Amino acid sequence: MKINYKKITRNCNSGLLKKKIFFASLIFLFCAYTGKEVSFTKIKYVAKNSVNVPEPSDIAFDKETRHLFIPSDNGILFECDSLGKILRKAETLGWDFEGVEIKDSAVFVSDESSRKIYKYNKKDLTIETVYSVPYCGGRNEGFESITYNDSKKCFVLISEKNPVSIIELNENFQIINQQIFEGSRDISSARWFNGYMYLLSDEDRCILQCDPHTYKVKHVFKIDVINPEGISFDNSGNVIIAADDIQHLYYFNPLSSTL
Amino acid sequence: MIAKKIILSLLFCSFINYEIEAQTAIAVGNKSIELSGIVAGFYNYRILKPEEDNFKNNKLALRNIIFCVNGRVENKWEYEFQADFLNMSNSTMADPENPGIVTAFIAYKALPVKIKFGYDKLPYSQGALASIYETPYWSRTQITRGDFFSRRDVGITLSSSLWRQRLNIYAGAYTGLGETVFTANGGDVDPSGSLEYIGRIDAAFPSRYRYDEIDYKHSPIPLIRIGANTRYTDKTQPGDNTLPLNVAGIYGLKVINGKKLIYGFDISIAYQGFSAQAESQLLKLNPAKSDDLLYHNTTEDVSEKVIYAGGFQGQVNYFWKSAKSLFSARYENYNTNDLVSGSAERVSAAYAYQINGFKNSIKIQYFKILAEDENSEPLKWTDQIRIGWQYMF
Repeated sequence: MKINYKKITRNCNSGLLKKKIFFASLIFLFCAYTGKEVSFTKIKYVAKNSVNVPEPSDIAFDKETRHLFIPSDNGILFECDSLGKILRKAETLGWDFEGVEIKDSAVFVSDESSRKIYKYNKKDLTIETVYSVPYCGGRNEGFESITYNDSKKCFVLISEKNPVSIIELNENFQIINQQIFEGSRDISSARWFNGYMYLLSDEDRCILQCDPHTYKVKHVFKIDVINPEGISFDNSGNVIIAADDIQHLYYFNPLSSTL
Repeated sequence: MIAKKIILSLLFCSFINYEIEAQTAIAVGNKSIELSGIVAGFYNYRILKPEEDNFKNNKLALRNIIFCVNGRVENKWEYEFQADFLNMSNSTMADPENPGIVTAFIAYKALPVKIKFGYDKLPYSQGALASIYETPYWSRTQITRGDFFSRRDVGITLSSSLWRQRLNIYAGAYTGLGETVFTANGGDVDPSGSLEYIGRIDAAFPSRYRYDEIDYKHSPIPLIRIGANTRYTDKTQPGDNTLPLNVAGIYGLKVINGKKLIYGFDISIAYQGFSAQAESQLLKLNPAKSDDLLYHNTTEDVSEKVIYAGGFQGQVNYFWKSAKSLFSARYENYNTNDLVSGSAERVSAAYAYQINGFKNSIKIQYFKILAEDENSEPLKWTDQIRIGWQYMF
């Protein structure tokens, strides 16, 4: 019988190759494991409510009326009571509302796809001004968040990801500063509260407590909420999270009580 | 030697950790347009049977060079065009998994029912609908890659979401020629002129559940989605007319001269980074002519003028966030013709390292033939490994 040594060698090599690949994979995974995380605290919600706002994408608490302003992915701004019951909605439609902030007598809404900021009169929800803020990232990776940074006296717009860009703007929405944020995979909402900047990550399911001047992460609060898209604080410091896919509001005790 | 190259490549890539600017969008007035694309390629290594000596599949190859334009007018109109320049040159027999024209449609979304017209993925089979670029795999299973049924076609699709987007309903009518529609008959359809009809319904609980195979968000609550779909066409060729060449696919099942009914069921679950999918498909074929090759010279008493084909598949996945790593394994069992003895079994395992999410990742897939259907699908290989890089911009 004629023996084909070439093929025997090849078959032996294939077995050896599998072993080498297996061990190479183990070495690679060891190298790939970052394991580095800022210290974090797991927090659990104390109550939740279903909300009829379709695809709620952010939430802002109005200190004067104790109402909630909730924009929808469908481009509609809703005003709800503290439990999420719809009280009224704005008539002017946008495309893809993703962020909301209340400042003085105005409600500011960021439209992710059209790169516009709508300034609504809080009393009658009519449009007062529309600002354009150009941004070249992906259509669905634009300004996911808007908040007013009271420590630096400026507005802040944050893009969702690829990369997460923190853009500071003056009251006329002209860019005055911007930086890349690398503390999480994405940012779905932002809120300044009591001297801290709080950033919410949907993909990492956490609230990042940040320095309002440098945006460096001070502490991380892991939350057990699916698809968190909006964060706000009531007058007592209780945290309210809006969840998009499941259309719920989740209520947490003040973060200071968990530290 | 190959193992060393793989180690060095992976270690090199693990040090590349920059953020890429994925996609570019421009918004003017009530319009916005987004440009994006994908470049992907791999090294393929095949372990052949001892008697085989043609190593042509041990190669470096590009898989895709895709350019995509997606536009919107307010929240009402949407259009998209995607072309794979690498696969555009294959004009005779489009690879259903890598067609040259990937997408070309317009859609109106301002009604309770979304209307889409053009060429796009068909609303059939969760395994066929999920994006391959958001999995660690380089190729789909044999059942869902487009050789049992088409994954894309020209037609009209109506869809609606209810119950807070947890319930999705799709219905549509298509040419029935699938990915070969542009090349099969010089731009015309087959002589029967008949359409293929598709319907799908899926329900998720307790939340909306997209067609994501990987739980990259580590869902804090268990998610489940179940789906059912069916499709039917009667492509009986009138008179002496025949089907255009190359429309039947590698198993001769994709378009047949006769009636074809398919129904399938699928399920997907996700929880804390773990996810799993399962799917089954059954094809009932009634070739119009008794001498059709699909009957394999059986008598009518044996065949009863019907042929069954199909199979099932299962897949488990885990996303290890701290290591930016995706792991997956899957099993499939299929039979291309119940009048021919034998069926096929395959397993595959895959790993992906995410340099920057799915946008920039290194993927490795291992294939193993467990059982070969020697009569219907004789193979020259037993194992295969594919390692490559995908970059979405």
